[in-house]
Amino acid sequence: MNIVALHPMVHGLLPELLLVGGASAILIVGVLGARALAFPLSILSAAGAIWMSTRLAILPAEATAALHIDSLVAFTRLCTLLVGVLILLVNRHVPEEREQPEYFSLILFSLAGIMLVSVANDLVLLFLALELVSVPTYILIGLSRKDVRAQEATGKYFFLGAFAAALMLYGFSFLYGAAGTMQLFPAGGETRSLAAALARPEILADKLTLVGLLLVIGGLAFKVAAVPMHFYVADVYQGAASAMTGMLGFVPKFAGFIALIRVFSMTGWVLSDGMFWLLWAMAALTMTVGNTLALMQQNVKRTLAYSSVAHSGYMLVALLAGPGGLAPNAADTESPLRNGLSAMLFYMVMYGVMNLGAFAAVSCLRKTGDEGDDDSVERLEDASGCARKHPWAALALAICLLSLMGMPPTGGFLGKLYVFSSAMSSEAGTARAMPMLALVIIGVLNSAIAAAYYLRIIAACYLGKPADGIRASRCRMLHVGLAACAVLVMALFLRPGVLFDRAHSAVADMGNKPLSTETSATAELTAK
Amino acid sequence: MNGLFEHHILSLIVFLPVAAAALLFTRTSWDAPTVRRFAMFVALLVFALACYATSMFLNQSATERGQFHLVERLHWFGDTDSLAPVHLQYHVGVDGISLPLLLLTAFLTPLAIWGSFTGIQDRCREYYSLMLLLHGAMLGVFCARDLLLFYIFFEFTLIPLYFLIGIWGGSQRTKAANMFFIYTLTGSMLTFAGVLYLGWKASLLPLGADKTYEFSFDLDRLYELAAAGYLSLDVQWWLFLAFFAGFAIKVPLFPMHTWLPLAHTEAPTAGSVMLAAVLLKLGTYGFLRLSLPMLPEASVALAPFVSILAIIGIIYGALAAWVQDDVKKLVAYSSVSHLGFCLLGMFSLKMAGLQGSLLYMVNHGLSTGALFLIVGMIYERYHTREFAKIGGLARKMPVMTFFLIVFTMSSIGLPGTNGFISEFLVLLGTFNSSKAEAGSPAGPLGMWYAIPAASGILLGAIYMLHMARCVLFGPLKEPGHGFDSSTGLTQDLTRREIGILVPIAAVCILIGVYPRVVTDITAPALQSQVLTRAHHMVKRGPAPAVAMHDVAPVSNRCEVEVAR
Repeated sequence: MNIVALHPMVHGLLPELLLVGGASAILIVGVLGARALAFPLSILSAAGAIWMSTRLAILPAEATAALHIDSLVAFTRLCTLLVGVLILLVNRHVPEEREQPEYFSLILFSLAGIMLVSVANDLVLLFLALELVSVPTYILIGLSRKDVRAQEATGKYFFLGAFAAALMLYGFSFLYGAAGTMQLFPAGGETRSLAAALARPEILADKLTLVGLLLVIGGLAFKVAAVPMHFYVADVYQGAASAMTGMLGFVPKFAGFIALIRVFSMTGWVLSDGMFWLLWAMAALTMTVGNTLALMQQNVKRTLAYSSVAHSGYMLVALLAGPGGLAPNAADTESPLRNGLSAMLFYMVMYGVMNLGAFAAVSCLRKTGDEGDDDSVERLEDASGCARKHPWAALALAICLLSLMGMPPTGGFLGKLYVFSSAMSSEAGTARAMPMLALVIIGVLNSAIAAAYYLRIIAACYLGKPADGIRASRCRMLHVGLAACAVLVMALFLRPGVLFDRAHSAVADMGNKPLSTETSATAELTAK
Repeated sequence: MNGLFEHHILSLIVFLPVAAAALLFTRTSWDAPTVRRFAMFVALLVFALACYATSMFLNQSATERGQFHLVERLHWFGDTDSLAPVHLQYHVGVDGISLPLLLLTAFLTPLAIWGSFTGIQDRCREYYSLMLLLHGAMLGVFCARDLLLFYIFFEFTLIPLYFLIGIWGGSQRTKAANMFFIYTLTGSMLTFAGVLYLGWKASLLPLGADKTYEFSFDLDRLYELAAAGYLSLDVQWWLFLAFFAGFAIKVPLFPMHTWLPLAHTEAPTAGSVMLAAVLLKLGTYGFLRLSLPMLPEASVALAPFVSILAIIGIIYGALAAWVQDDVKKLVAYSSVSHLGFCLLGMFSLKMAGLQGSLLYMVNHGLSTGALFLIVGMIYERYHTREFAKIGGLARKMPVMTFFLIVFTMSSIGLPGTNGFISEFLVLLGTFNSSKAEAGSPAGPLGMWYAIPAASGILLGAIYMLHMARCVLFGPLKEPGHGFDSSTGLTQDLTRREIGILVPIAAVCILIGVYPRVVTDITAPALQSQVLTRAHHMVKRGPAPAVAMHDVAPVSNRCEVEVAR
């Protein structure tokens, strides 16, 4: 196949196209009656997309105006797909036989959405990509479980999601008004772009631009479940099947954070004081509120749901740290530990794996022998003493929870290390050093609060009296997925370089120098 | 084979128990006796390796002993294979400060494992694999030459001990385990912030031969950083408080001690032994290794604050121990009192005080560990530890009585036992701290700290003798059901139990009679790793002309005291 001869638009989107094509094929196969093929086909499509994305060289930026293909795209594709395979494995047992084609193809559509978010260089495309992430998840929640709570969760998630999407779209319209163009970054011979417009201080400081940015951040805060847009989390996570919840912790969050990186890249990472304090308060509150609410829960899934809010808070800290590079000492820009963005990506992927592992373990342990996901353990009492009967599932759960807690020797520890050290160092020497340090201290204290509720789950499994009739799922794929998550969490502690280097090079070209003037901004961005 | 031992002996010591723990966890088919023998064998093997490492260390001349030896360094992440100028590394080594504690750990763990042979009947496999995991983590803390690695092992010790307390503990085990875990984690998370801050500071300076800017947690590099004066007094204050949060809770220093009596009392015997003998030392070791040499100005400035808390701890711990109605709680509170001495000696910043402090760590590990073992032996027989229910056991258990008296005396600090030397040196150091001598400037403490602390010795004698009197002498009191022989125990100690206690007693007497077995190892390291750095930076001048001040007088003086 001579891919160079393809239209640049098609060429640039090959992995996404492959995934969407695979998803559509699964739907057709389902209609034709070969439902058993749905799962193998979905794995095959994801694997093919992985192969494609590693083969694909980065296009020159001029190739097309609507796509923005840089190293962040390569990172997003690879990580989305790799975690996506784990998500598919873990969800193997969830749908009923006749719903399998729809279920797995929707997962693939959602994954393709994340990849498109990173590729989009146009406000409309960005919006559509974000909705492509979200809309399948609305349906998936409803499909995942027969319980009436799943229907309630679908409803809640859908209406609040639509509200957030509207907010974001409204914000986009302000940004369009400010810049007169939909294009995010200059590319494909088109010089007018939002990035170039926002690089002009008078436009960036304009009230209407600010309103636009705030609305966009508000809409994206819903996707990443940050305070004050976190209210839906517990009900939605509790309502969905456990394995599906593992996906909800990764997919919308990852898409939201990639979009946030793009939005802040447009502003050249110049945060006004107001914006800085807004994000500061958002990060501090997200961590604290998430952990405090999680501490008050008695239900495992609700606990993990609120903890997912708290983890968004840690990632917001890293986002606030930004790409570094504005520090006075030139040599410091080299150090990746001060690059908040790579810290955020590292943490995001790590969180995706460990959170998925925790939910997979919850999904694996069930109150009765039924397959499907209607009665996985939920209350702490349900899981009581499960370590005796199911030592491996309990061990995997414990590893993932310890990683969420940030204990060595797990990847979560390195994630925390990376996030907090970037926060500590990125603004050093400026007036924002102290607030960032305060944020780090709030963060580490929050980690201690978090330990209390994670420990409660571990305590129920290991220290509690064995509950009657607790069983483990017999689904082989679920076991493989769970084991892979637990092993990955440990392996990434021993060899963090695999992920660390990729996360670093994904954002290494962002914001190394302050983009103060339009010319430098344009030159910088076209050079990439 | 020789090369393997030469270059990787410390890694072998640290990771052998970890690997054995993993192996043990997967051997579902092994029955309890096999599991016990295997765990015991591994722990003994580790002890043999530690002895071998010690012999290698002792091959160095006296002056070289101040430095690190058996160093092994691996790039964990960063450096050549990565884009990142970040330097996370696996770097281990021992010097005279860590070696005694390493040996103590390797010495006590097989005994603690041996001591659990009858006590632990339930879920043996998990129990011994967790013990071995804990063993590896504790050894790792003392070997680490990299701050991040130190922190990783330091944190990791919580996990196995949490399960040991939570699964095999007494009636309030879940509460005790949670409290222990969350309390210590809260403190050490703040320490984590301090660790990160230091690592970042190191990245701002082109240090080392290659003049690169790296995020680095290497202790050598951080010492360099501190010696070059890059940590201002302000920064040192904050860092000191960050480290203090983690270490003071671990020690535990007076108002932060509330987790300790519960955890100690509820833990299974071996858990209490490890907790008292080794895990509390992680806090004092942290102060000695990190706070004093790296943050000397803040240490001097805050020494009165720390010392006053230590003195309150000494007296309060002793008084609290006195009024307990449970033998194990009494021993637990005595730890609060004893560890106060450790910190006091350390913050005197005098050779005698530091020597005493380090020796105290070893001695407290031996005598309190042994006391917990004996309390466990009594408990296994009578299923109670309350003074109201047991008493006058000397008639029925003469051998146990002998050992309990020996360790009580060692704990009180009777001359001729190990406790005496360390208490004496600590108080001597504290007392003389305010005096400036040749090569040793004045420290922050003085007579007014030594005098109230000395009352702790008196109180120590009171509560320990009170315990011995109640348990051993007077009219015989036994619970109605008599002693429990279901696990093959006899009325008095069995051979196995005697075998556990004899080595500890022998070492106690050995150190008591000839303390130089420890002090000769520790003195050069304390001088070059701690004192020189501290004094050098406090004076903010060039390195003192006499870098190695003669350590002999201190050792001689204590021998004279012993002779008297």
